Amino acid sequence: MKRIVFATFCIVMLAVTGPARLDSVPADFDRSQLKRSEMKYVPGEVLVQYRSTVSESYAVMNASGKNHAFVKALPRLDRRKGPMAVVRLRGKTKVEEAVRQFESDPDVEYAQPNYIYRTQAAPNDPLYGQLWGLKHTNQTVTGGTFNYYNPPGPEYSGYDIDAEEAWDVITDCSSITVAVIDSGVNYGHEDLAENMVNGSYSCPGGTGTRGCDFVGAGDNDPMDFNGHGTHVAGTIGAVGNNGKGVTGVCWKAKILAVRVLDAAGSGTTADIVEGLVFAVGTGAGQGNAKVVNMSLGGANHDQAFEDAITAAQDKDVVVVVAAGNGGADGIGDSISSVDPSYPCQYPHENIICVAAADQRNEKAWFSNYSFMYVDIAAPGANILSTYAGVKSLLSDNNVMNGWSIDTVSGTPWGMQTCEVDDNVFWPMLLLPADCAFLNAETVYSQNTNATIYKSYSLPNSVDSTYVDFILFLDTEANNDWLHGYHDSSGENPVTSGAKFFSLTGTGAMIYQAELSACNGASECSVGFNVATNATDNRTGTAIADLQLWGIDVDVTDRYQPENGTSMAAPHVAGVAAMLRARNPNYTYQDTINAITAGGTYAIGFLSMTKYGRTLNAFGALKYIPQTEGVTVNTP
Amino acid sequence: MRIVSLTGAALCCALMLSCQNGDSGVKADPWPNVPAQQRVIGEYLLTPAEGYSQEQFKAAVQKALAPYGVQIVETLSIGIVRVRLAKDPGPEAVSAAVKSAAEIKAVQPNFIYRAFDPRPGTPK
Repeated sequence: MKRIVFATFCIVMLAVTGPARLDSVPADFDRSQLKRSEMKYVPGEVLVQYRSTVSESYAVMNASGKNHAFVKALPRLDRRKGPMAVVRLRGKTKVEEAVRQFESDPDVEYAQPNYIYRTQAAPNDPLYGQLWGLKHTNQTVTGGTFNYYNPPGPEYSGYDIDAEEAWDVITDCSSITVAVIDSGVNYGHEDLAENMVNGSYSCPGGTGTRGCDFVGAGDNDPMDFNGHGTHVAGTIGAVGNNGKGVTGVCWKAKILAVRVLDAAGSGTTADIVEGLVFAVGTGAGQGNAKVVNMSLGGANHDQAFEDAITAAQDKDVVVVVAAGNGGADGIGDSISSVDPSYPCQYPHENIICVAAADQRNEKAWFSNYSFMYVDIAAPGANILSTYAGVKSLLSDNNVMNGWSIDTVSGTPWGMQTCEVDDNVFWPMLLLPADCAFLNAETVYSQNTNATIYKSYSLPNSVDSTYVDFILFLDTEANNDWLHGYHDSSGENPVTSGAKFFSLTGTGAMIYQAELSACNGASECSVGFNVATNATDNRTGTAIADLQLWGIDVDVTDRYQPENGTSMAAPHVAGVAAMLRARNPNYTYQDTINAITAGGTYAIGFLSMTKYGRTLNAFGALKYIPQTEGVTVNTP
Repeated sequence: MRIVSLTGAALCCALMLSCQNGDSGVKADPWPNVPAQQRVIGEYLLTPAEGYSQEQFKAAVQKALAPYGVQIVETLSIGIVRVRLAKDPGPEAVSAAVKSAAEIKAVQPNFIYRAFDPRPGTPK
């Protein structure tokens, strides 16, 4: 065929024309990745392949006879062919006209535009090949726990966000601050340190350099003791092409760590409001973020949170939020949104809410969805990214061992192994100490004041701890209480320590809480106290599967695959940063329009998201907003 | 081994249903059925009404919630105050307690949010 473009020929063409627009691509890119990414060509120039009977001197005359200039002949790739000429067009002759003119000449085998080739940038990070969301090659993600479609089959290759095409345009987003409002970020991670902010921020308790911590009283250290925030940060902006670990959507970034969730991944309205207002605040000491990622949520409409998002909108900030993971959290799992998820469902135009796609580019089973509230989908299963450190189980496997009982009055605690289903036995802490609790056949005494506690030894390497257990509770609401306490002394924490939770009423849940008083200690005691009054008695409480976890954040070279809409949202946040870095005049609306309009249609998401599309970074960069007066830099 | 399973979920549901007779936990309006684990027990956020100074607003908060042992913990960046009650009567009662105070525009629990937990490969 006339217009077959050989790979070798591509290299020659690059030598002739020079690579176009390599400004965002580092000098040591892999040139084997070169390929034609767009059908753009050099204006006023064509390539003419003469027939084998034509000499080079005749070709010069042939071009001159058409009032064009023979520039030079390219090296012959095939001795059976005639010369290949680079011809510069004279006057206002268009390339298309010249091609037709030459192709009508019997001495010409074919003519074509002198196409412009670009690098298709691939970073040299050793784990890049695992990042199917950025480049889908039907790879198996090592250690991926999402067992479906890993790999999905060769027909799914290419179902990615077209990151390499986007990286031809831009890899450096560091002109835009992206706030990761989450559990903090391990700013010392080998693949993040270079892309963290290094500023002077007005934090609770002092000046921060990497961001601020707003959990509880807060401080100036937004270190991540959970792992969630560091994973999110890596997807947005792990350092690209540094020969280490992974790469983020942005190779260069400016990530602001805003810690609002504790080591157990839990935070409050007050902490999130303070964190968000700081992140979007402008001027000295403030976050100055233009993109915010919040992979968190709750089930209640929250006016204070909504007001903080309004403040972000007033500051022209894009707020990227995760749709939620459905399943056990019971939040926003259906189109009708019977179970809402906030902030996804707030009506603000600066919010973009993200569902999770699996390696088939279809909705991952856990992802929340809604054609009313969820805007777009992005890769969210088996996503490899940076991890905060080493997490380890500190409690022994036998939850029955080592508990001390202290009963001031009323019904004491006890330990029993109860049959919770046919031949399924759970060891439990119980008050009353009777497996009949499971059939609601127990009653605790009035004026009970009873404690059960246990002390754990902590390794020196542990920087932070949290507790995780299954809780069943049935107490008289607002009168009878279950309190959790902890202490670093190893003594009864109810008498000497700090409270980490209080609950009343009826419910069953998996409960997690940071044990901040034990951070950095060699011992940690955990205790539960039931305090009841003199009215109404109910069934009591049971605690099962209690585990104490610790994390060592001094280990800064860890990477881990995770699944969730939490992992999908930061892909979008990275692209938002990319767009705003590329187009500094973009508003939040331009940015969100580009992301939603530039996405790839996906049948699987047509009824599950507003726009029926999955994220496409290159598509978003190509989007031209309709807003008047906006200068756009498209590829 | 983690004992989080469908069996566990079923047990949770069964237990909750078995306990729904009589007093069935926290009830609140305008936050009907907010489970206790979705809010910080004893903490509320109050928004000032327009036209009142912070001093007037805080005085009104102290007065309205005095029976519950109120302590103003902090004022957030957007003017909202966070209070802690020594005895928490529940969202419904707190809402009723501040209803007649013109200085107070709104009250809400200090809700609890969570990082969306990473999901395993198979549904729980």
